[in-house]
Amino acid sequence: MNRAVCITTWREFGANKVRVILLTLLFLGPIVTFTLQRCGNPEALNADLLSHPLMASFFTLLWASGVIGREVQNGTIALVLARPITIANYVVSKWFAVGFAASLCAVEAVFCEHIISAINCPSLLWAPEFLANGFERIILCFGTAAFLVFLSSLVSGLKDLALLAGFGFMFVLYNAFAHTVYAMFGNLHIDNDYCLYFGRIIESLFTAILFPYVPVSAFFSGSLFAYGPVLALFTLITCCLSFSIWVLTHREFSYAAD
Amino acid sequence: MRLLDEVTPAIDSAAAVGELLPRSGIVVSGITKTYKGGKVKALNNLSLEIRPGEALGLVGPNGAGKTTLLSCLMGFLLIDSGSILIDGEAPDALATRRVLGYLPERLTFDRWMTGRDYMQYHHELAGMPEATRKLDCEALLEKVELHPSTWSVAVKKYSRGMLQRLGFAQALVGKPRYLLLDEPASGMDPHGVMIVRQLLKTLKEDGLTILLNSHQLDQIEKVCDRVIFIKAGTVSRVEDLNEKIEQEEHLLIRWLSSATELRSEDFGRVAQKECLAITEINSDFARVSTAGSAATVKLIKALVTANFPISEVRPEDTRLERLFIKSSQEEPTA
Repeated sequence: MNRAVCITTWREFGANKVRVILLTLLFLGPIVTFTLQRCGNPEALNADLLSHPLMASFFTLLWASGVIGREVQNGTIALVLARPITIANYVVSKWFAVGFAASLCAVEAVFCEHIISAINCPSLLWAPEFLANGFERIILCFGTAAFLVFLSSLVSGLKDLALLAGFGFMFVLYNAFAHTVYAMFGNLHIDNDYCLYFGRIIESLFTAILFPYVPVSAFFSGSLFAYGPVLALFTLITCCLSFSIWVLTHREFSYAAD
Repeated sequence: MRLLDEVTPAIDSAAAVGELLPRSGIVVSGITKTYKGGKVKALNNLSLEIRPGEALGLVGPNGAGKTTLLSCLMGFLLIDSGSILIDGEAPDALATRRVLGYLPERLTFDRWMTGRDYMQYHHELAGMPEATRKLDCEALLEKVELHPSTWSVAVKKYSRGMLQRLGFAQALVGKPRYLLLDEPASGMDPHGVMIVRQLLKTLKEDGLTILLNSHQLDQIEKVCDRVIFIKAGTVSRVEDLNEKIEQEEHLLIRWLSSATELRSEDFGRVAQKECLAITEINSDFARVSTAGSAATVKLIKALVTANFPISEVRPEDTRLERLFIKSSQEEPTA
């Protein structure tokens, strides 16, 4: 991991006022909304009264969009790679920088929620729900960061957002298609296990990519159901970073072709 | 490496390892590079060698493949065939990158950074020690004569000339042994051009191997030992600039403003022995061609002896300009 690449990624984000404003809004929005909800019923704390770990994905999206693509578009990546730094090191540094920064934001957001809740109702201080939510956010940030870094390495500029939108659209399309097919199977009384398993694999793949969520409380309670998502998360991170390295290794960084 | 040792007094371990490696220069063997699925051939079986410590000029018309060649040497482009070795290593090897300094023609900066930040960022990327970071970067910025008041200004506020100087300073970060420069004085004012020229001369004296791609032929002529002419992706001519050769010279001779009456017959009589041709003559100037520098000296001597009111004698084109024209008319030697 390269310290200079990480720090520059963070500083570049800070230099972009639009992103900082968006980050602030993303930070404050859930705190205000969910805290107000809890104010109505200060003793209660359940999943509905705590901002969802999915919020971490939005923080990651804000940090990761164009993280490599912008450097490709500006041409600054060429001078970075002209230095004694491997592409693998560069990609991992970018992934870590995004994952760490997004985790920090997401955990800070849940921490603020926690503090406000604890002020409102002291019995909620150090409630395990907050801790689990925080851990889930960190896992989600690093998982999503790997996928977004991969998308960013495929394109230049902020086109990775378009790719992400494409993925999301495909997921929606698949869901609609799968539901229709399942309904048809049900109506025709066809019991085709292979087809259903295949459908579930596709669905799990999409979910793992777009929402690499690991239920922390289930994991710590020793539930076997938690191991699947953990495996999916590690596979996602490894595959995304490996593909990203492969793409950049086979990419040309020169304006000579222009 | 005297200059760079002054600039970066602390010895970086990576650079120290680099010093121990054998220096075999840059060897390019029959490289071919195509674009657009082979439709455009940018480099066509190009071979060249740059000896350690040599300054090599790269000259050619636009689209000849000079920038492509530099990009291949930096490992930014994947070559179709052939090989490139820099000190016996591939261009994209980490050991190679430790000894390479690169200045692209199209400057790319993280424009939100200040000049100092930018230098320190590259200093860290180059694996140089943190203890000397500030000192090294400031020394390099001073070396390219970028005013200290601009060091803390965002790069986006820099003028083109300032960016070029910053880019040049960046290329010197990490104590490189090889400098690949693509139009280093592009967009600079005359003072900046002189600084770059002087800097290149000093770097060459310090033993750096320089590959200089420039359209400023006088700069190449003053700095380089050899020049390679590239045409249609291949080497069309190699010229040793240290070799003194007698070549036809085209001169412009200006008369003093007081010389209102100048008889062309008299000039012709005096000059005919030394001149190959008198192209033009009037009361302001004369255009002549001589067989070479020796003949030019004789001609000036003869004109002064015959009391011709000379105010200025200057060559109308340089050796490289003549070679460039000649080379662009020739077929590539492949």
